[in-house]
Amino acid sequence: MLKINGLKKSYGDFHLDVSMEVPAGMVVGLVGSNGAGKSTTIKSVLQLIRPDAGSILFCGNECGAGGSLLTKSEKEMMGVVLSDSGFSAYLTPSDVKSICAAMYSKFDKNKFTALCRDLEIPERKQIRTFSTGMKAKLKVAAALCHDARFLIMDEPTSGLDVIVRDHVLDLLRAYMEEKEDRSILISSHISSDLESICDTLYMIKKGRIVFHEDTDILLSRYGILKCSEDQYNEIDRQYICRRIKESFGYTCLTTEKHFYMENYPKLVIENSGIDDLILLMEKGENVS
Amino acid sequence: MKGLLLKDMLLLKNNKKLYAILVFFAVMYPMMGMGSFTITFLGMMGLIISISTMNYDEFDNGNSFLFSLAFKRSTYVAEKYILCVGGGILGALLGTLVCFVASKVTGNPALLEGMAESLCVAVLLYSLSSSVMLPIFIRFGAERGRLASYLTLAAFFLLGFGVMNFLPDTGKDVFVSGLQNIPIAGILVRLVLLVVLAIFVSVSLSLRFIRKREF
Repeated sequence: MLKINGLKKSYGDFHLDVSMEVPAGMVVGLVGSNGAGKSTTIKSVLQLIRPDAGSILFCGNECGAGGSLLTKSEKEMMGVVLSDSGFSAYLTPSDVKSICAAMYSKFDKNKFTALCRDLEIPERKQIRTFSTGMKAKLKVAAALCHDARFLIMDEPTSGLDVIVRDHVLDLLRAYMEEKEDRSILISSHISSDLESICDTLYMIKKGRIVFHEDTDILLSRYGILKCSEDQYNEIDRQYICRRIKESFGYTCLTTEKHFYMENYPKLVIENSGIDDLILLMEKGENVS
Repeated sequence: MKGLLLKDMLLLKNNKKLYAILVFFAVMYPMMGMGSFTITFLGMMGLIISISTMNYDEFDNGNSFLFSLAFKRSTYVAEKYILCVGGGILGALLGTLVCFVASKVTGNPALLEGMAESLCVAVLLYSLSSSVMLPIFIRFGAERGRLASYLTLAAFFLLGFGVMNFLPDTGKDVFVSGLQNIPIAGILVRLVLLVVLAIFVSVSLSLRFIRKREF
C-alpha cells in the first residue's frame, strides 16, 4: 500500500531518514518520543511537506521528492487524522458531513450520522465548543466514512477516555475486517492501543527507524531482564539487545525471554511491551 | 471545488452580526444620497469577507488537515479566486441593486447618476485588488499576508504620490492629454485588458506559491 524509501527531510539540527512499509491488509504502528519524526514522516506521505530526498510509493504511484503530487482520486483513498489539526472550529459536524459529501465521491452520510450518534457527537454544535475528546472522535468519524483504502492516523485516540478509546479501536478493527486490502498507519503514545491493534511496529528515534518487529513477536518473545551486576556478567548475552544501568544492576531488553526463563530460572524476567521498548531504546545502550 | 466553496459558504454564514451592520449601512448610504459610495463600499466588503476565509483556513493550524483532504492545491487557488473576485463583483452588484431600489423608494433619481460607472470601476478595482492580495496571502499566510498587503498598498500609494509630485509637469500633461484623446470605451477596454492580464499573472504566481507551500 505504502512504501517509503530513504525519505529525507532536514530542519536545522533535525534530520529525518526513514524507510518503512505499510503492506495491504496490515495495521502498522509508528512509535517514538516527542520530536522523533513521526509527524514529519506522516506529513511527508500526505505531501503537506516536501521531502529533500527519497521515494514514497502509494498504491504503486511515486509521490516522493521527485514524484508527482497526489491526485484527487489518490487522496480520496486516504482517510486522515492529524493530532494537531482538524476541521475549522466554526463548523458543525453537520457542516463537516456536507463538505465531506461534496469532496469524497464515496462519502456515506448515513454512516457518518450513525457514527456521530454512536460516539455521542452533537451534530448541530460548533466544533469550537467541543472537548478535546469530542474533536478527536469527530476526526476519526470523518476518516472512516468515505471507504478509504488507507487510514493514516497521527494520535487518533489522544484525549479519549479508556471506554471511548476501546470503542474507537473496535471501529478500526471493524474497518479492517470489511475489506482485505485496507491498511492503517497509526502513531500513538498510548502503547496499549498499539499493542491491541497493530500487526507490526516501527520505532523512530531522532529521525531514524531504530526498531521494526511484528507486535505478536514483541509481546511474546521479547522480555525485560532485571539482574544484578554479577548475574549480568554470568549470563549469556547473545539475546540481549539493550541495557540500562540501574542501582541494582541492569535492566535489559531481550529478544528471547524463554531462553532466559529456561536457563536462568532465578533471573527476574518480565513481559515487555511498547513502553518498555521505547524506554530501553531511548535511554539504554546497545549491547554488542 | 464544490466542497471548498461549500466550506467557505458555511464558514461565512457565521458572520450574521457583520451582515446586519452591512445591511444597515447599505440602506443608510443611499438614503443619504451616497449611491456610488454604496456600490464601492459593498464591493469592498464582499472582497474583504471573501478573503477572510483564508483566516478561517489557517486558524488553529487548520491548513495542515485541510490540505490533506481530497482536492488538488490548484483547485484551492481556483476556488479562492472565484470566491474573492466573485465576492467583490457580487457586493458591487448588490450595491447597484440597493441604489436602484432606493432611487425608486425615495424618488431620488440622482442616486442613479454615475451608477454604471461606479459599478464598472468597482468590478475592475476589486478584481485588480484580488489579483494583488491573493498571491500575497497564499505566499505568506493570512496573518503575514495582511501586513504584506498593507505594505504593498503603501508602496502603490507612494508610487502614485511620487509620480504625481515628482514627475515633471510636461510628463503629466502628455499623459492627461493622451487619455483625453481616447474615447471612454477605449479606456474601459484597456482597463479590462489590464485587469485580465493582472489576474493571469496573479493566478500563475499563486499556483507557484501554493505548490511550494508547506503545512
